[in-house]
Amino acid sequence: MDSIEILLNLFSLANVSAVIFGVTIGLLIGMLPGLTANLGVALLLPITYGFEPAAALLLLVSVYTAAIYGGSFPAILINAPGTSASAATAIDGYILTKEGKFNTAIRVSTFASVFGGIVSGFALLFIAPPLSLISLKFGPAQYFMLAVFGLTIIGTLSSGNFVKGLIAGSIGLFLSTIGSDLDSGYPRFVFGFTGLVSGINFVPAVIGLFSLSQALVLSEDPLKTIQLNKVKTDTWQFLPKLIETQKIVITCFISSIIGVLVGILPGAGGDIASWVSYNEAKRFSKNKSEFGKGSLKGIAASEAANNAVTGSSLIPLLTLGIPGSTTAAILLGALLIHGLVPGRELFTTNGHITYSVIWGFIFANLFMGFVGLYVAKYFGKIAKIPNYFLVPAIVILSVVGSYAIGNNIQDVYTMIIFGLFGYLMRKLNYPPAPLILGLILGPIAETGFRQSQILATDGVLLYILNNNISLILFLLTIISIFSAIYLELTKKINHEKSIS
Amino acid sequence: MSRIKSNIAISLLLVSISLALYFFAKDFPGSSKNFPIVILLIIFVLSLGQIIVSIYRFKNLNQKNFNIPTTPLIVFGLSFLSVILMEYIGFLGAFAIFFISLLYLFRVENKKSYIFGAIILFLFIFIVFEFGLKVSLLKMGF
Repeated sequence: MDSIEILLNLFSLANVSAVIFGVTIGLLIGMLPGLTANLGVALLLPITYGFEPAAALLLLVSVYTAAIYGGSFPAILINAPGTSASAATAIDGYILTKEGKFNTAIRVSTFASVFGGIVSGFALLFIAPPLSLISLKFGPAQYFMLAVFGLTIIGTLSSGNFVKGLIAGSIGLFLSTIGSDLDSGYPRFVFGFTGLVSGINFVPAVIGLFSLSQALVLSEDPLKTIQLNKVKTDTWQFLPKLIETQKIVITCFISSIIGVLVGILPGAGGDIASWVSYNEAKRFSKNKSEFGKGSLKGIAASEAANNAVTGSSLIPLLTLGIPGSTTAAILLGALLIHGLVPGRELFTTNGHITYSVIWGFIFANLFMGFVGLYVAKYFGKIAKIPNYFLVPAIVILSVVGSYAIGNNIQDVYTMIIFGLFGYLMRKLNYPPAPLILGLILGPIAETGFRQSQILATDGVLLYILNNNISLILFLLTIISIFSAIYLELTKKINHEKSIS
Repeated sequence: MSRIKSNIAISLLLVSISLALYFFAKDFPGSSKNFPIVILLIIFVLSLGQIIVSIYRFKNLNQKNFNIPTTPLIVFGLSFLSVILMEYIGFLGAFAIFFISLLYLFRVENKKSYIFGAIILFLFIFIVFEFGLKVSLLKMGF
């Protein structure tokens, strides 16, 4: 790929505007406790329909990384992490704020987040292309095993509700079977509704499950406004001090590597990475007692790791079509909407788009740092948006967004129904993310299985496992399940330790 | 209702639905029935497992109260009604009513800033979708 072509493509007006808009919106979303990166990406997905693929993806990945970083602001300022990935940041960050060192904490958090994000961007740049070569060797059996491997993410996306996660994932798989059968054309589970013949549209389902349901959650306490105490802060300084940078740079590097590795594992997200990194930073620190008392290394470890996850979770998505996180699952929808199929083609035929997005992701992380430090001064005002205003704003954006998919009112009804479904799932402790994964992976699994049935001569299972890639995927499935359990346990233990 | 009771109720509902859909799917022609049948059986088994786990916990755990607050359900109802209304009076009219309804439902005291915010939001959405994305909001729903 011609690097000049990539640069020209990256710095086109549309792409730069997409990064600026994405970073700004992402920061805003991350800063508001209760609003998540998933919600941001789901809500902005319909806005990208009219965009060029590169600009659309740049907007969404910018929202993703900036929302994760934005979550550190309320964690540091009011001890209320904007996203679950910033929970470990709150431990030391809030203590610094109480000591009047809010500015120092934000500077460190910004430096670490940008560092982690850039490391993960380079990991994406160097690991993804060679890994995508494997996808060329995929046939029906491998695709079926890949879908099964993808479904093991369900366990890790279920945060302690393994069986409920599996049920939600199975419901997603079932919903993917609604509509015309691809082989026979027979309308399955349509019950006379012509609107269901073409199946359930993925995008309105995502908007309903993540955005509308969140609006319903926020409406439980409509008058809630984050009240900020007036914070005494040290003299405002835009750039990090050299002494601070020297203190945290090694922690940032190690935590970024941990974040990248955790991010590649399907389902293991920023929250796990930040707790694991926090624990490792403490374990290898010469001054362990400073952790929990306003340690700069504590903030750096958590923030570098959670932002390092953002890029690396895209590696299994872009190479094999397996989303490494809930946000990556929504991004998979974005790829498909823009006619981009994960795999080798993304790095060859569509390389000009993919490499522009990866370089743009690195640029977005740099830009995020500048914007973050600038808006930190004014953060108090931004965080005062009350729920009674957020609720109608999210509802209206969800309605308009789902209508924009195809100027079709049917999509709005799909979104509304999934919104209620998502809300009830949350109330009943059924995680909504596995349902989306089931909806995405269902057709891949079914097509792979049925084609394998046709090709198999000595039994379908034997056919599926009778090749190296399927066997490796089978082993990865087993490892994925056990590593998820291990990481979840580590997170819990570290969390309990930090509380005590 | 306690959370455990609600778990049992939901699982029973899932067991019944998966069973009913299983018998429905059995009549699908050829191989089109295989995958849905396998998935429905998985849902059936998992829900049954959930019932057993819940009954076991019912005996051993303190039960937390579980209830779904009414406000989110009213907000959902209003959203649904607004979408229906949209087909008759258009997007702007339907969601103006939606905003005003929420103003009273949430008992917002600072009405001026609420209305000002609503106008700004409408303008933002209108500009982005109408001019940026060529989605005609004025014709939306008709």
